[in-house]
Amino acid sequence: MTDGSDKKLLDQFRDPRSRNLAFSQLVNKYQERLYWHIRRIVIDHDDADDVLQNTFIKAFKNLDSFREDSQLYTWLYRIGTNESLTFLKKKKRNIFVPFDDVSHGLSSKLEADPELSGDAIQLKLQQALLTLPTKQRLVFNMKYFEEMKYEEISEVTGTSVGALKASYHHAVKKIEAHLKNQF
Amino acid sequence: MKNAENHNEPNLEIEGLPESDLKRNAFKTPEGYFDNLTPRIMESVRYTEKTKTAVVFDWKRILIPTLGMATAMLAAWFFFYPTNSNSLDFDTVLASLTIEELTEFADFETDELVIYELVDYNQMALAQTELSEEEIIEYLSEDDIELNIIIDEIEI
Repeated sequence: MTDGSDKKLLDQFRDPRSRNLAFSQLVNKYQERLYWHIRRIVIDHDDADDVLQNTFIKAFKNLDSFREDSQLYTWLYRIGTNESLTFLKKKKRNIFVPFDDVSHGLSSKLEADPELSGDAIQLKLQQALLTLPTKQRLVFNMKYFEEMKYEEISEVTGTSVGALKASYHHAVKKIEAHLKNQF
Repeated sequence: MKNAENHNEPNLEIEGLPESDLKRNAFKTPEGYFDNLTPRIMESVRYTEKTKTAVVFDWKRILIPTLGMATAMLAAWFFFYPTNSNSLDFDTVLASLTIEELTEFADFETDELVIYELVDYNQMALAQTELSEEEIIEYLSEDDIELNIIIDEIEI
C-alpha cells in the first residue's frame, strides 16, 4: 500500500544510522500538506503550529509500529486529525462552554486573524463551515479543499465510505443554504 | 490524490461565485514559515527523545512506597512474630497447675477443663468431692450393695 519513495524512507528510518535523516525527509515531504489540514480544523496559526509539531512527535514515536497496510500520508493524516480533535476538545474543557461556542470562538478568530486573507467570500465560507458539526466539517475539508478520495478519507477517519458520502452531501446542502442568505 | 469522483458528487454551487473563488485558500502563514519548519520540528522531536531517555531519579516515587512497605512489614512482625522470651509451652504450664489453680487463676470454668481435656472426668469428680479416701471407698461399697439389691430385684 505504501508508495515506493515512502517505502524507502521507512526502510531508512528503521536503520538506526539513517533514522533521523529519514524522518527529517519525511517531515519535509508532508509538513505543508499536514499543516493546511490541521489549520482548517483548528483555524488559528499558532494552534496549528503546535498541533503539527505534536503530530510529528507522535509519528516519530510510533513509526516503527506502522504496518504499511495503509498509505503513509493517510496514517499521518489520521494522527494529525486526532491531535486536532483532541486539541479542540481540550479547548472546550478549558473554557467550560458548549462546543458550539468553541465554533463561535473560532469564527471570531477568523475575523480577527491577521493571517487570514481579506477575502470576504472565503471568510463567509469558513464561517459557514464552522456552523457544521466538527466531523462533518472535517469530511468537507478533505473532500472539497484537499480533493481526497472517499477511500482515503475513510482510512483517515475510520468511517465507512457510505457514511462519508452522506456526511459530505449534508455538508454541501447546509453550506449552500447558509451562503445563499449571505450573497 | 486528485478527486476522480467529482462527477458523482453534489458540487458546492453558489450563484455568482466561481468555484475557484470558493476553493481559494483562505488562510495565510507568517512569511517564511515553511522555510525553517523542518528543522524546528526535528528539534522538537530530538528534545522529546532526550527527555524520554534521560531517566530522572524521582525519589518520591521510590521512597514513599518503600516506607509504606517497611511500615507494613514492621506491623506484621509485631503482630505475628512469636515471642521467645519466657517461652513456656502452654501444655507444660497447664500440667504444672493443680485443678484448683486452673479454676482459680486461669479462670476456667470446671466444665471447660473437661471440655478442653485439661483433666479427665474422673479427676474432676475426685477433685470436686470433699470426701476423704476412706469415705469414698465406703461410698463405693455401698454402691455395690445397692447394685446387688437392684440385681436381685430384677431377677425376682
